[in-house]
Amino acid sequence: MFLLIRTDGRSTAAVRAALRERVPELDVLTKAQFAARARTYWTTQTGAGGALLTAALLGFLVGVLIVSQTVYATTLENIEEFATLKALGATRLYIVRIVALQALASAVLGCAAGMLLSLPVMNLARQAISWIYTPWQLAVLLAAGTLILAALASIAAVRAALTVEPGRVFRA
Amino acid sequence: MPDTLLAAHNVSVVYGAGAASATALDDVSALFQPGEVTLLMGASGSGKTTLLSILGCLRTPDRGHVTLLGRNLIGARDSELTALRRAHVGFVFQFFRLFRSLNAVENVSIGIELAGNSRSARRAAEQALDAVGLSSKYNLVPSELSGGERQRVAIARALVKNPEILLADEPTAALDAISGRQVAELIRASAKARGMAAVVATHDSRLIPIADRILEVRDGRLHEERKMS
Repeated sequence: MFLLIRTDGRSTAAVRAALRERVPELDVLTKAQFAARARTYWTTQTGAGGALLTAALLGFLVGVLIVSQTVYATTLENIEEFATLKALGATRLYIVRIVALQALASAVLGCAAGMLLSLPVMNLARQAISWIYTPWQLAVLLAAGTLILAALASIAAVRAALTVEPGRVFRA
Repeated sequence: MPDTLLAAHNVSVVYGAGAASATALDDVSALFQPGEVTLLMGASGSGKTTLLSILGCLRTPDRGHVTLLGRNLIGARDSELTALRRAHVGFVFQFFRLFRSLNAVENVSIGIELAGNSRSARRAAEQALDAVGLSSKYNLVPSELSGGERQRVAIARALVKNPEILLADEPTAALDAISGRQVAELIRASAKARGMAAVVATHDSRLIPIADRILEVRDGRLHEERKMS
């Protein structure tokens, strides 16, 4: 059973402390504490959190694989150009920079497209469920995650570009 | 400038191992002087391209060694060989090997940008293109250029960093007679004007007139050296 108590201008902390003193066997929570407890309960005790986290991790993994495949395929498609660059004296850092930029371009475009697509869905969800929470920090977190994704995704392509034999430039 | 810019000393290269091994170069020695155009001639598979790879620090020999500008390259690390290529060696390839999404100026600029000189790269690239007669083609991508023009862009890319050594692999093989002659003349004129050692691997006899000497490569060995008058 829950009881809601209006503090009517009095200090919430003071009211809470007084209540806890009088009825120590009850949980007395502020609005923020109650929200945090509810979030913790739903994310850790019910399986809903696990499902959401698994979905997010799967999404991240699929993202890494797709960007990785795209960048790897692009690198292999241009492997002769990487061999030429190496023959002309490109440093390892120069090669890594090119591949990383390709991965970054893929990730930024993907992230932008993903955000644009999710905006109307978010609006619809907010209309349907009043308490849904979509802070702007979510977009920043998503962008940061995308950068990590791009870095992970470029590892295989960087390896392919770095190990190409420069001597193949003389082959027809 | 040293008398000998580039030298191979008793160089041998073996591909594969055991019964499947094949000797690509067998105890090859040669010196390359400033301002001299040397043709490496021989049939396909004779070893001339392998020799070019060794001279260009693109691979190391199994035996023997190479000296570049007086420096013995035995035991040189990959990063050192890369730096030597970047600073001292210009390459011209049979099929040009231009970057297809870059225009002529950008393709030539790469030669300078790799050396970390990106501020002056564009101006230097334009001058290099002017020098090979492509003033009006700065902004064209390789697919918009003829074969001869592409090879001249490749030569401009090789020359833009003022290398001491120019290595060309079959530079005229993919070109018609007129373009081939122009490219050959360009290589010779550049070697003479800049004091470069130009080494050209070819089996195109049209290149013989530009040569100061011809090294005949057969079965991985240097068989004959002809000095041209």
